[in-house]
Amino acid sequence: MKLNLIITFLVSILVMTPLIGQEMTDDFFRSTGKINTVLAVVVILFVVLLIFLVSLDSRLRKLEKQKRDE
Amino acid sequence: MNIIKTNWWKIASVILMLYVLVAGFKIPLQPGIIEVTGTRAVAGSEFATGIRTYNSRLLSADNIKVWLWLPDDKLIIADSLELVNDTYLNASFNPLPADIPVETSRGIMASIMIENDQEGHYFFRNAVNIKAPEQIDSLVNSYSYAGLDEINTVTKLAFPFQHILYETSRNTYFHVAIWMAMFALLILSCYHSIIYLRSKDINADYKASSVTTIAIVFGIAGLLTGSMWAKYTWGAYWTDDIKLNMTAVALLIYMAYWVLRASVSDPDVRARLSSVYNLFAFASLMVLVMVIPRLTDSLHPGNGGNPAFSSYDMDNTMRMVFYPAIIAYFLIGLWMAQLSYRIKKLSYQD
Repeated sequence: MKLNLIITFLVSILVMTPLIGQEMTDDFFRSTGKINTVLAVVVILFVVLLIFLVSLDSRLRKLEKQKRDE
Repeated sequence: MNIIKTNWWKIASVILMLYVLVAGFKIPLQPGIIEVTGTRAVAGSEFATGIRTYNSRLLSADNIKVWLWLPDDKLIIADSLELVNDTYLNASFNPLPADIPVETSRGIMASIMIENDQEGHYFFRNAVNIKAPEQIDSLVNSYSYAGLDEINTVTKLAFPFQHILYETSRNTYFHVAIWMAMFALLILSCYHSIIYLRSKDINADYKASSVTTIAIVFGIAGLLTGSMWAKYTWGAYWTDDIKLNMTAVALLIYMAYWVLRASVSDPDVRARLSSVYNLFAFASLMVLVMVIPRLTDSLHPGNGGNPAFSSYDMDNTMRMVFYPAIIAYFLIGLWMAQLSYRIKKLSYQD
């Protein structure tokens, strides 16, 4: 159960690395034709979907536990 | 084989999503002009300007010409060019023709256009203000202007260059497409709500609420991504733009749907109430997001006189990625809704 959370956390860190690795200044997002803004948008999208998946995961886990207890 | 037969649309969503990511990032932008340093000129006098371009390869281009494009589609060619690097050049007109038709004292706005054999032509609209000379010389030679039909056009697989937006026009495939998918999902959820109200089949209510939940998640993602995009094109994370505020209101109305469902424990009452509320929420979303922003000024294209999906904003190359993106998000949303629906069905079974 905890493993799942840890894996999720690691994946999100991995996704954020390109952003954290560089200085997140305005210049960073404006450089090379503002392409990094597009990158940030894709990362946000991915993270939102990931959060939904985690919530789905926890609901399923509750259900499994309920079935096991019966 | 059965797995493929029943899940083909999930496979399609993954393939489409991969296509959108690769094509959305790999297809280059057309070259364009970012900045023109000389902004004031007088007819009949010398005029020199620096021109900063984006995504161009001026040093390896043949036959580079710089044109001054007058409002009545007459063109004046620059007499001398000096290439600084791939994205910067200096152009000078010595002098500009004296018979440029400048009617008013405020002058006219002319565009700057660069043309070459490899890249075709690209321009900066209304870059230079041209005024009439103070003393009009009666002995001017009449200048022979070039026409637009002499301009070379090269078609390549590339997205249109947009001033200020630059590469962020690629967000169309992520930010705009996810809103479109949200609308499609909400229409689907309304369909299921109507089915529930007609048949009183509790499964239809589960379907409607699962799809609505995903649509709200997409809406939140749309707001967050839009905020990021706004920061680096409009200058702030949140502006007073009517569409932003109205969308936030619409999302709050939809979040009340969650509250409503959580506060009623009887499944039949909950299903009936939330089905009706869902239809109401969809109607108000349409008014708030699709109608009201069109009546006033808005920064969003398609509102307050700004054109959307016109040839100016989007060309066929962009449509080639944009429409598959909508389908991809819609199918992924459907997939997520299906998982959520199956969990709901299992948990309320007994």
